Amino acid sequence: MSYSGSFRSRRVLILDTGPIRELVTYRADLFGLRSLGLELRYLDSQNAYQNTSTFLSQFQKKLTSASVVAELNCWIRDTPKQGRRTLWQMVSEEFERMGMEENMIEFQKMELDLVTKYGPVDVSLLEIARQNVAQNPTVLTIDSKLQGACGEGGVSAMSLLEVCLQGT
Amino acid sequence: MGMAFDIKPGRGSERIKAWVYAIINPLIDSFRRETELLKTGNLSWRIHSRRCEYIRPVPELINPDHEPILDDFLAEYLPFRSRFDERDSALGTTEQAATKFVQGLLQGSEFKRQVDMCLRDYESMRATHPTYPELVGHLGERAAEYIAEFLVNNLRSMPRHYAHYAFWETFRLEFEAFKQRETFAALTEAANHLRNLSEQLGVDLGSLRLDLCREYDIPAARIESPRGPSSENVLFR
Repeated sequence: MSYSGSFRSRRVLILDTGPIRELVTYRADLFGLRSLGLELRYLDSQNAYQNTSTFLSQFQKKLTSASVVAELNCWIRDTPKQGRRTLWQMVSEEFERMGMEENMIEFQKMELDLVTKYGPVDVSLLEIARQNVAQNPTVLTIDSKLQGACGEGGVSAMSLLEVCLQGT
Repeated sequence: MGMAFDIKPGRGSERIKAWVYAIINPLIDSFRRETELLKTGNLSWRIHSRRCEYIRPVPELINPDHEPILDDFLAEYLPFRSRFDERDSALGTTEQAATKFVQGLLQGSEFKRQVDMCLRDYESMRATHPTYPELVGHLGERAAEYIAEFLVNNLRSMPRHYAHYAFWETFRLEFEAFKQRETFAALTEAANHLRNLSEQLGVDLGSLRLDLCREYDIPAARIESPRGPSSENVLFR
């Protein structure tokens, strides 16, 4: 499997909620947590997971926003109670093991027009991209609206679906 | 294994359904999952908590709101109470054995020397392998703890995007000799005992579920309402 050479020069990857949720769900599935009723929408095969894992491994630095963690809570609180601690454990381990850094972007410093248009989570990710522009960041998402916003701002963005299908 | 109580519940009993859906099913699922995990040697033990994160004591395997149903079930099926206690005790013994093995590694100089040597070699390799991540911050500072945890969990490989992937792919075999220690043999023995208990509990609860479903004419699992997501207790109404 090979990715285009341009990615090799990229050093910073910014992860949106969707890809993190998929990575955690894949692990939960691997551990046989079927009773939680989680649904894999992208990483539905070993090949898709390996492509994603390889893609992620090419970035020296992985960042996300504290707002993304809050958004993960919206997902986890809708799962059965007995599995929630396990899911948070998996989120925590996924962050730790991939060396994820969390950045805090304050709501009061966000432009309200942008918040209105994209929501605070997407705006926080765009701001993190802006802060790291010298390192040519890439945003990984499943949200086409965020991808579009990145395009408008001159920030590279990739959909998880593209990544899953790379090399297949 | 019969119930302790004399008054027999009726056909389609809500009480029996509650046992099957809220207690027996999640426990069967957990014991089967745990058995599969232990078959691979993965205890899911974590150094920061010194616990097996994905193998939990029985009360933590069910929805906390359903504890009264667990108590009700155990009041009627007394032998399961002692078997659950025995299994939870075996889990505690396994966690303690893992802690003892890791403490032995981290307190001795031999393991630390091996970790330092491999980290130096890894750093040298990074010059020719630019995609190998730098093990900075806690990933490097706590490398010995991570490696000890990998050994406890018999980790052979990990996803490529994990920071220790390249290190472990390269140096895993350098640490295999540490598994020859008596403390690791004790850990393996404790884990095998736990696995046997959990596996048998899974089998026996499966048999009990079949008996209850036949006797009280109830489905073995809740059937979701076609109207969409329902509350967790919808079938108990």
